[in-house]
Amino acid sequence: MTFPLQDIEDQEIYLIMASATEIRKKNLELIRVLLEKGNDVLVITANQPYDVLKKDYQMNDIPMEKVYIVDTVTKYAMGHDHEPVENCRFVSTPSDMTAIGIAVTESLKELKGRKVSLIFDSINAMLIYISSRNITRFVHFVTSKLRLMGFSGIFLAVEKGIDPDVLVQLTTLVDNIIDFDKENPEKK
Amino acid sequence: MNNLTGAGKMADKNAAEEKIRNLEVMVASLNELLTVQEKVVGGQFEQIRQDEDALRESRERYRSLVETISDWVWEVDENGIYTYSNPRVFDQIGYTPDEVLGKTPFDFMLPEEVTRVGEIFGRIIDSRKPFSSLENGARHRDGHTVVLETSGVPLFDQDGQFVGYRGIDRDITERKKAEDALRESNDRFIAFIKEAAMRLKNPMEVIEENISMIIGEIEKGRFEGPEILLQLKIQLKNMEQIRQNIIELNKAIVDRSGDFSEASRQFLIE
Repeated sequence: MTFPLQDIEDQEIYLIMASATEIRKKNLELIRVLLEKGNDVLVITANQPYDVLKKDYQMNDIPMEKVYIVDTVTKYAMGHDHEPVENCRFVSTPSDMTAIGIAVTESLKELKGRKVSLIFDSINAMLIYISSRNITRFVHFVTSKLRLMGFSGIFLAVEKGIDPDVLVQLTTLVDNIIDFDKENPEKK
Repeated sequence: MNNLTGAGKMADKNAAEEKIRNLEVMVASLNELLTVQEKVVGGQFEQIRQDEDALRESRERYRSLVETISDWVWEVDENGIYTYSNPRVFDQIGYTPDEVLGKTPFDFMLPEEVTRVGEIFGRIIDSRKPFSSLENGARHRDGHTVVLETSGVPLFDQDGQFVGYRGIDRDITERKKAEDALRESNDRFIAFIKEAAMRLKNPMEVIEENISMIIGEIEKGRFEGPEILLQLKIQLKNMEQIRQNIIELNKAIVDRSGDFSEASRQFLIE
């Protein structure tokens, strides 16, 4: 039995693990579910650039005015600024934790007072650029912000791609772990 | 009548002379016997003297060994109180032999060690058995910590009564520091290997999946030139970073191993 994404609860924080193939699908499914629940969605992406996400979302009838993006890869890959986009902040490199933190903080501030869910895509993509220690610190930073503001959050990770000791640390920062490769989800 | 008196006197004289001769024989025999006894006793005294000399030499040799050995040699009584210490105690914990006599090992032990070692030593004393390589921390007179390795054998008197222990303490502080450093180095290396696996193995899978997705989108006609270009640049950056991660891992391995030729080293880390 696969965990139904509709059962995702408000103000809870999840670690969702899926195969590399499934992560992209899960991103789309999650956004649809969260929007249906009346949430605005903030996507932090270290995987897909803004332009591709926008195209994906539009092709799947996801209203862009309800989606906000922190893009950590476009500027780094292109070597120059993307043209300004209203609902997207571009960070110069996925390894700049400070800049990403500032972008997340400012985005969440703008969304204060609304019902917000954050999606982080993905821990494994970020691990290319930063150490597991810094990833854990970053996840702790973001989850603290979310809890303060009463927002929900979903961290996507590719299964079997995280060292067990690191996974244990991450699980202490979230409320639920959902592994789409297992039959029964692990509810803490 | 005069003839009788003269004969009597002659008989007496002869008897006396006979007695004297007999006494002379007896004395000669006794002298001979004494001479033999003298020789025997003299021989025994000589043997005793030789044995004493040998014993003195043996004690001297033992004393010299104990006093000059690099380990701290000690004896404690049945209550664990020091009754003997060689001078090496000063080299190890900064106290003279006189200063440790009358005290117990626990008077010089780190406070946090007293309970642990006390329990172990209590069991040893109860068992009356030899023990070896008991590690314990002591406080040097100047305050720094010394790690000692203690070994001992039980002592019994001629009635078989337990009277204490004799043993040695060896300063293994430097050896422990080296072992701890090696263990920490191993732990760091293992942590680095695990980190490297996380930042190499699975990211390749992510890149593989992304490129597969790009190919799929191109085949479906969904991606246009700028999008394809952007995606390929992102994956290229990802691969550059992974290559850098591999170089860092190689550096860690090369630095730790030290068995690589200069040419191999350059190949691995550049």
